[in-house]
Amino acid sequence: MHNDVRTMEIEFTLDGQTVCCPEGLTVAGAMFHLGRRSVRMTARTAAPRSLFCGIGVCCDCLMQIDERASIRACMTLVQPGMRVVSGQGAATVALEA
Amino acid sequence: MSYPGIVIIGGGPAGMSAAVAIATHGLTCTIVDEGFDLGGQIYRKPTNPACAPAPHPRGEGLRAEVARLGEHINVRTGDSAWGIFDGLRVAITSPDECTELLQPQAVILAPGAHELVPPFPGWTLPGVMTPGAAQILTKTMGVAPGKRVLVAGTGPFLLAVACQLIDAGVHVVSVLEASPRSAWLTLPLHGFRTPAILDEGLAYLTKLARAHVPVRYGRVVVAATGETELNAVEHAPVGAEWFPERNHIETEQVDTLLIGYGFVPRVQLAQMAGCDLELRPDIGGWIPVRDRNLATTVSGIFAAGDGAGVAGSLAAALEGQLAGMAATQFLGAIDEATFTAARHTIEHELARLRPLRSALDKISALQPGLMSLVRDDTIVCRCEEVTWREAREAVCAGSTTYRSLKMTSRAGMGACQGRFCWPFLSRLVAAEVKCPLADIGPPSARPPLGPITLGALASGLQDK
Amino acid sequence: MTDTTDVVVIGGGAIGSSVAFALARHGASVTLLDVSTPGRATSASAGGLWSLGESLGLGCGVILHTAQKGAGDGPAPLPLTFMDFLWESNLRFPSLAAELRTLCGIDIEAEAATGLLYLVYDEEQERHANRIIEWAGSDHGCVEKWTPQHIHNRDPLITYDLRGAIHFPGDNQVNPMLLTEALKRGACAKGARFIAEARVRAFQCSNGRVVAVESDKGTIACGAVVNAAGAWSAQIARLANIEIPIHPVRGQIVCTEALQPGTLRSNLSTRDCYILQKAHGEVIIGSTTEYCDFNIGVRYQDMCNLAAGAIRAVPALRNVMVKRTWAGLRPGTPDELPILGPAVELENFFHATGGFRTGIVAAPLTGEVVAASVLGQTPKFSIEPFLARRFQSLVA
Ligand SMILES: Cc1cc2nc3c(=O)[nH]c(=O)nc-3n(C[C@H](O)[C@H](O)[C@H](O)COP(=O)(O)OP(=O)(O)OC[C@H]3O[C@@H](n4cnc5c(N)ncnc54)[C@H](O)[C@@H]3O)c2cc1C
Ligand SMILES: Cc1cc2nc3c(=O)[nH]c(=O)nc-3n(C[C@H](O)[C@H](O)[C@H](O)COP(=O)(O)OP(=O)(O)OC[C@H]3O[C@@H](n4cnc5c(N)ncnc54)[C@H](O)[C@@H]3O)c2cc1C
Ligand code: FES
Repeated sequence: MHNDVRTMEIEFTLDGQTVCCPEGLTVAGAMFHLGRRSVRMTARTAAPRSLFCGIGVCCDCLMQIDERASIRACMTLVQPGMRVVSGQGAATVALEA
Repeated sequence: MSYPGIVIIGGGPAGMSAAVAIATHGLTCTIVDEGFDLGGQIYRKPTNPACAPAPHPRGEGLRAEVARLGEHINVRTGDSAWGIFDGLRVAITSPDECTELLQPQAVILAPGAHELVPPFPGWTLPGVMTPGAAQILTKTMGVAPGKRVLVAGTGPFLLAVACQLIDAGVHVVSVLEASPRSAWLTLPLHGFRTPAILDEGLAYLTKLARAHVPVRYGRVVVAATGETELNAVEHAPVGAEWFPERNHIETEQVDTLLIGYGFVPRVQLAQMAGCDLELRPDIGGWIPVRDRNLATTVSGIFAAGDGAGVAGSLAAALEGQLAGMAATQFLGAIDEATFTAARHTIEHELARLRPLRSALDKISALQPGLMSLVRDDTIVCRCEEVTWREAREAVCAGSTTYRSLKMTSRAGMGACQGRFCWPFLSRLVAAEVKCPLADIGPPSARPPLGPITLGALASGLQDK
Repeated sequence: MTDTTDVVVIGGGAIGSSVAFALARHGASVTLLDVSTPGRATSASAGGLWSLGESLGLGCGVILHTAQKGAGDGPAPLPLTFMDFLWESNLRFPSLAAELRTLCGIDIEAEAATGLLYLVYDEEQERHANRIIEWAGSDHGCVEKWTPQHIHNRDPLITYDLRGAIHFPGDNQVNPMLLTEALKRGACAKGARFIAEARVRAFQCSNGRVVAVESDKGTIACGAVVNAAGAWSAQIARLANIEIPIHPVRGQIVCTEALQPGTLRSNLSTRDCYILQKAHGEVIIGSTTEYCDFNIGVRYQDMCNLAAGAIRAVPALRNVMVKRTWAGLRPGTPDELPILGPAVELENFFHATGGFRTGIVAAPLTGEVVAASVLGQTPKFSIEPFLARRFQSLVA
């Protein structure tokens, strides 16, 4: 499946820790790549959730990305320096600086 | 804002074909697709440069055509269409959170379909996902969905995905097909006019056999188990109407379950625009009512592809072409005779595809047994985490419409707007009030269709 | 087959359910008929219990602007009797919540001490706010002026870019759907009957009285009828050849995803919108006031406006997802007061409508007074100002 192209590694933060993945991965893809299939905990029963539909319809894969509360991880490509936070229950908002 | 021309929502085979038809006749159009590139579901391009692009001559051909006609076709990938207002105004938001209102003279809806998964115990566990989701991980990113994978559900798409996973070096344990083998054996009778499609199916089966991946017919997954992730799947043979024989349950240790029972058209934009819908369970559920020109009941809005009734990528491309021409004719840029002749040819092609497709639809038609898998504490509404007991009690207490059930149980109130729970819950309601499914209606669709931030919404103000 | 009941209540929104509950509590046999019409006000509403804020026109700042134009310098755009009515009704929520919890196990999420904060951005609003505080502060002891610092200490997400706020400590909120559901089930627990999806089609009348109600689910002989069909109550009245000036007034809402509970502690109102976080975590941003037809579509420009207004008040909301938008139809009247009590034209036909933008807070008392009126008792709160006959010259 792999071409001989050398791909770049991209650095971003996940829950405050610096992590890496190949370029061209969605945030959901990067989570799988990192072996962390659970992307958030639900609000009502604190149950883990992951990628489900893969195409932006089910909204199971919502994560906090660059301060925005709930972004579909399957529809967002990882960018260098991106700040990704796995959800813990209902969304939180931060005070503006 | 520059003039968008005809706005096409969706850049899959249907949307791309529509754009090519429009541009060929000299009109301008804009394709809006929230994906990273044109292609739609089947012709998705790898995003990870390390992945070899799948050889899709048709997809590449369409992409090349769109590029060639680039002068007439604006491509807005990454942008989501989340609402249709006053008939033809389409609200879209870009990934950098800019919202604008496109004001075209005609709209072609080609949003495709999503996969159908009726609820069963454990279906919310990480590791349980649609075959399509796993396909995207492997095919476009080179990421494996898991280590030991079970593929289950119905339809030839399961075989395709299983083969793609094998090619990617993923261990596929087996494929469970709900319909009996005898049903599948009748297919060649219906596919003689489309031998290439039959051959494709046979090639999948051969590949799976070579890889020693058993395809087990007449079995359904009844439960998925695991603590924080999936670690086992229970499945059983089915009797009539796919009711599982619970005394023959087998348990399989796997960390990944890909499960899909076909596709559901994405009709929400059509609904928001006020298009009439009709229920066609054989082709995925609620679809927009269309005339011969693929015009919906709202003037200036056309619908094509799987989003208007699931028929596969070949039909989608043909429909897209027809819708593109119809929209062009609607704006007066093709004469009647040319249009009628072209439509005749396209209709002929579509008719050729139909026998095999209908046979497949029959084999994979949802059976009542699938609706019997839920337990009291099974979550039926994934978004709001509403259990089967809660939903059932609300229905029994008189909440027998989508609206009232949503108000009393919160089922369907979540971000997916009932797209995953309603195909199941509407059947429950229909059974409870003893009326046809069609009387129960689709879930209501409200803007915004996908999640956008308040900030993005507020940015639309600048666009007076 | 014909059913028989003392009273048929038409409309299962907050008002009809409250009337049915009050009647059942008095031992009357009641049948409540409803259809789930898209746009019913109760389902669309924000559930603010802003007895003071709303009667002063501050529940939604958009209204303040129009109110200011109409009412000159006076702080109360609506008559004082109405303010007292809402105040009285609002006071009933704590005990009603307890009663309904015991009766049917539903928590109506009636909050205490959330309070409504009217955010003051500019000088003009400040002058108006000062007048309100002078006028109401001494009287009810229920209005306070807050400084930006005070606001910040209590609700740190609110913008610092303002001059202050008026705080109405008694103006809280409830979950309107749960309130209605609980009233309905409470009524049933007291012997009432609820029939869903029973659209009322016609009345049978004889000798100046309604004798039966015809609906999709059958005909019911009855001693009296209560018209609580919200924005549709003029249509219901017309079936009995009664004219009442009720018209739909559309209100649009933008609703966010669920945020951690307590993200916003106060209900907020500004000149652009109101903002309140519901118990479930969602933040509701409303609303428009549009004199319209029965269309319940939302408008792009209005949604953008509401979003911008909310971000101005609470900048951090910028990053929050919009989950859904919708519109509902308030039952509006020309003088913005409800229409309660007996009809002029038919002896046993009663109105419980015109809840307009305060139908939720008014529901408990509305139920009581209309029930009393139907049962021939003297209502605890005079409904004189709310009788339909005030419009006689208007509709004649
Ligand atoms: C996940 C998945 C994988 C599939 N893989 C295969 C396969 O490998 N082989 C096969 O034969 N069939 C596959 N199918 C079936 C496939 O959908 C159809 O056969 C074919 O792609 C339909 O073409 P279409 O143009 O109608 O829609 P699609 O190809 O689905 O294209 C629709 C496009 O519209 C976009 N879109 C939808 N809504 C919006 C919106 N609101 N705003 C912006 N953009 C929007 C989507 O991003 C998508 O790119 C798959 C289906 C799914 C759901
Ligand atoms: C956006 C919005 C926000 C609001 N916010 C607040 C707030 O914060 N606080 C507050 O106090 N108030 C608020 N209101 C006002 C409040 O919601 C209404 O005044 C109140 O809900 C009116 O209740 P109702 O029972 O009279 O009407 P509805 O809730 O509309 O109920 C009328 C019922 O009658 C039914 N009906 C109609 N025709 C027939 C028929 N032929 N047969 C049988 N049944 C029929 C309808 O389907 C409906 O169920 C708001 C309203 C809106 C629209
Ligand atoms: S997995 Fe369904 S939206 Fe991302």
